[in-house]
Formats: sequence, structure tokens, C-alpha cells
Amino acid sequence: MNSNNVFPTLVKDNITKVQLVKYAGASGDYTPLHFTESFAKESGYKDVIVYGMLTMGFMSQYAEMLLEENQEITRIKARFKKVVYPSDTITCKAELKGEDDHSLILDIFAINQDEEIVLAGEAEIRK
Amino acid sequence: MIILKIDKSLIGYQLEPYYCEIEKGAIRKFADAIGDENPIYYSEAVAKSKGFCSLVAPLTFPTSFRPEKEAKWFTSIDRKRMLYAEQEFRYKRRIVAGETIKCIEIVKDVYSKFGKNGELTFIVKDKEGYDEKNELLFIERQTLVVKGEKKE
Repeated sequence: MNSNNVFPTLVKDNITKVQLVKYAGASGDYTPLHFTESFAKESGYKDVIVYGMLTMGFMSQYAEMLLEENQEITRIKARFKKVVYPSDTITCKAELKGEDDHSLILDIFAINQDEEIVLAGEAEIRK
Repeated sequence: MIILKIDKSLIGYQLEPYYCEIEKGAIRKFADAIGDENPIYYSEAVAKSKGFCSLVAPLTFPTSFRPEKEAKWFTSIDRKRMLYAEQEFRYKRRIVAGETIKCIEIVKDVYSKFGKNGELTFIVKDKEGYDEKNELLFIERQTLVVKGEKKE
């Protein structure tokens, strides 16, 4: 990894409701929380909510963006901390957690526009 | 409809294996839904240049592998009270288009915690994916959380 251990970030700022419908079809998850406003509001949310797994998809895209030549992700884990809404802007950030000759582990965070952590996870990378 | 109690008696509950054919179109659609433009998800030529036989499936793609009939304990959970708490994927190698993956789902743990909104029930479920040589390819470990009283 780069010697300063400072990683670029990835910003996802245009999560549309159409994207949630696309993700429903692509993932086969038809939970109405993500595309039926009345269902989401009855469940206590202010609007439809973004799939946790879609946010994890952003995190995976980000982890792969950070890979160097011939590196592979062998493990990726996410803890879903806060609900994400389609109006949110999500920024993915990483920090080096540990490294040896064969692998390294990155701590990855997805943060919303209010600097709240919505997803915390890690990626294990084989060199 | 039989509603299974969501408690420790669910541990070890296993579905019949089901099979997923990994399709190029499904990979492209999934990558597009995530907004990931990495060409290994769209272009066979690029995927092959990186040493893969065909398009590579995104890391979270196994979330789209579902049995024709979901487990009753799973469908019985009130979706208004359910969220994903955690998800983890471990890979031996990447999944590529053209493969057929055998999936086995097993409930690994069920436990409760008391949060600020009352009781939270956590269900940990593994999805193991095997390739056509019956080699374990990936394990997806999913932790669901259900708010409120346990579903009886």
C-alpha cells in the first residue's frame, strides 16, 4: 500500500429511488421498506430507506478501488450502523489496520453528510 | 402457515441445497444497480485480460442467490421490524459467469439483546457456496436483527 497510508475516498451522492428499484430487481430483495413510502413510514422511517447491502456494494467498490496490482480481497465485512436515505451523500474512507508479508487489513467507514458513520467494516486483502 | 419460533431452537436449521447459474446479464445488472463501473463486471475481454474465464461477479453478488422457496422462519419475520445488522463475505476465489453454484443455508446462531427500543433478536445465517467440483467457494455470513417481541 502507499507509504503514507492515506487513501483516496469514494463519494456516492446520487442515490435515487430509481436506483433502489434497480437494486431490488438485481438482488431479488423485494422488501417494501426500500420502495413503498407508506410501508417505510409505518415502520417508523421518514422515507424509503437504502438497502444495507447496497451501501455494502459501495463499500466493496471502494475496497476494490484501493487494490494494487495482483492484490485480491479475500474477506469483506460490514456492520450497518445507521439507516441511509436516498437523499444522503455517502463518503467511503479507509485506514490501514494491519499488514504482514502476505496480507493487509483495511478498516473501511461509510459516512453520511452529517459525518455520522452509517457503515463500519473491514477488508482483508491478499498481496 | 406455520410460523416458526425465532429462538435458539432454530440453530442448525438448514435449507435444501439450491443452485444458481451465474449469468452475465445478471452480473451487469447488479453492478449497474450498485453504480460500480469496474469493467471486469461488464466486459469479457477485460475480465479475460485479468485472468478470468468470463465476467467476474461483484463481491456482494451472492446476496442475489435465493432459494425458490425461502425458509418459513425467514418469511414469517415482520419486515417492518427487520434490518440487516452485519454481513461478511469470505472468498477462496472470485465467482465468474458461466458457473453453477450450489448454495447451502444454515442458521448458525440466535440471540437477544436489550436495546433502547426494547428487545432485539439477532439471527446469524450462513450461505455456503460450492462450485461444480464441490469446492467451497465462498461463505456469506448474515446477521439480521428483529425489533420488538420475538415472533411466536
